[in-house]
Amino acid sequence: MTATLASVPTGTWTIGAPRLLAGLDRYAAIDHAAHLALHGPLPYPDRLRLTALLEDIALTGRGGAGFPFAAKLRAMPQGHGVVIVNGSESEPASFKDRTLLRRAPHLVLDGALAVAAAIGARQVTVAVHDQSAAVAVHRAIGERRDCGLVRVEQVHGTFVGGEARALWRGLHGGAAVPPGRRVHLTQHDTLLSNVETFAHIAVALRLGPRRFRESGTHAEPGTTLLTVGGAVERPGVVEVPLGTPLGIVLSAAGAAPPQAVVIGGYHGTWQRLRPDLQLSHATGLGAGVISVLDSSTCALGELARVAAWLAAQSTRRCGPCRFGLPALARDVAGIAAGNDEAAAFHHAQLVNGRGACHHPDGAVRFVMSGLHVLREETVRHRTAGGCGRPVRGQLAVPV
Amino acid sequence: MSRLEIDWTRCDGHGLCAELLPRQIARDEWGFPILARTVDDTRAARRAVALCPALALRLRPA
Amino acid sequence: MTLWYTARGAGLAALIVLTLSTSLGALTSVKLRSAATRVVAQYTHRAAAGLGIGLIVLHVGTILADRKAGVGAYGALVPFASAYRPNAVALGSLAAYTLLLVAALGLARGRLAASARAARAWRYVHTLAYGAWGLAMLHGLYAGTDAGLPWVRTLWVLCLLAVLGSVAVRLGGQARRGVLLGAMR
Repeated sequence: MTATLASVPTGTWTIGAPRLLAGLDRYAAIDHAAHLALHGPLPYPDRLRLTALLEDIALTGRGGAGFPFAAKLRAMPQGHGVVIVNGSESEPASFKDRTLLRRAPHLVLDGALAVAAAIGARQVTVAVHDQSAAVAVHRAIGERRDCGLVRVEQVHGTFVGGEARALWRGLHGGAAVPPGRRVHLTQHDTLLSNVETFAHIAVALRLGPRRFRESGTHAEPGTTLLTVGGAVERPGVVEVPLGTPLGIVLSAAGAAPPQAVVIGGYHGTWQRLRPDLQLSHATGLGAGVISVLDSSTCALGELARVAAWLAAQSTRRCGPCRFGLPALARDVAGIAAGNDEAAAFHHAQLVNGRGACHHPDGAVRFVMSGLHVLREETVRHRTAGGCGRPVRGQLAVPV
Repeated sequence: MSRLEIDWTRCDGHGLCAELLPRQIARDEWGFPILARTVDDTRAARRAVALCPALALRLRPA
Repeated sequence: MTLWYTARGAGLAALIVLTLSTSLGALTSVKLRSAATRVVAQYTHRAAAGLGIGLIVLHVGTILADRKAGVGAYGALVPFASAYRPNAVALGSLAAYTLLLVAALGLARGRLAASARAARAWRYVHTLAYGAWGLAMLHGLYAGTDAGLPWVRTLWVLCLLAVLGSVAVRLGGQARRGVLLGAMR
């Protein structure tokens, strides 16, 4: 099952000065000439200086796990490693990665090539799921002359398959599923990171640490890409400085007064709107997906739909996930139909932490935070038999 | 010190481990093991490792 | 004469006991009754295998000790080298060697659980047990001087049905779960 949605938000906009999205207000896509005019030539620091720069700006991965990039770099051998750019973007409501690849691929290539050169890697693989993003990357490679080591690989984009080790296995002839044991990718001499992370590296190489730190917070300098969707007038991919309050983002997006907000995608958390909440990767921003649900939709129904989808994403290899997630999804549907939450809490506890990968844990986090935020809704559904609203699909789920 | 670990991709809920270590392993409603707490390396634990039909248990250094 | 009778008795007993072991082995992954039953079944499987090996040792020992049997040490240990019914005896030697390999690795099973690759390899080797049992059955048929007796024949057929039946149950269970032929995930 692929994770593409029927409708794709096309807009990109920024709060503050754009870095990754620079030039996209003028150009549909940035070719190599425009890229060089906008950003200047690409510096190629040696390994020591690159590591120092990345530590200075405390760059963390933008794929959702938020792992310090400098640590990944330090763990790599010199001379025969492989760099993988993870553009599989299997989170259904996330569009930042394919947007970057479609419209500003040269930043991504710059970052990957600079890292590869610094560690003497023998190969750079760009893993892509979206077809037009793959085309755009191929075109961008054709515009340059330094991409001898770069390969583009098409991947299936299953939800679980986008996880780092699952992706690695899929690229190496196995099934795109996480392994049964905790194996670190560095054991395979592989440095894997998200598309956006490499784009930030490309920007940081030009700006240097001081100017890079002019945006964002002290703990998390720089900008980050969000995908804002749901009940908003201007959905799309947004670049904001880290630490920007959520309220600013939502009003800039033209959000309706929210019933609830989901931050971090479908392994993320439901929250009641706190306009002062400063967006940061340390507090669960994940892959930057922000979904707004307004009062025109049945939020419990939305929760149930996504829970059912998450259950269907199970690779069915581990018993607790294979049986537990569908049971949990049924329980949530039952709550939307007026049952109480006991069964859902019971199954959530059973599923959490058991299994070879973190898919059940993420699904539990999503469901439990949803049930917590929607407590009053739950009561309404139980006493009044429903809330009288349809499920509008503000939390988009692939068919 | 070794601890008992489950390889979830091999576990098929046979339940022999829970039978051999009843005070440390329970089974959920689908038959899959729940380790109540960390299970130490004992003769019973080693027997469970050897007897699991799916070879889904192993003893790992903590 | 006693040696000869002991040899034949031990051989037949070994076949019965190994049939029990093989059948129980086939049924390990079938969710029979309770887990308690299955623990007992597993232990019985191992015990029967051990007893079977012991009976084979007795069987071979008494045959070697019996000068009139015409097999001799070389003939017993080297397949096809026996003076008496070389092919039939070879079946027995091969069966025994396979069984010893399978049993030895079976004892080391716990230690092989550590890696996924080792676990998979172990399963393939252990499946040779069916081959060992099959060779033993053929050995009994062609080398056994009692094979003509009606009650021995009946016993032989019962052994055949026991193992075939167990395998059928195992495959049936796997097919229902969609994991035909034990595909390791």
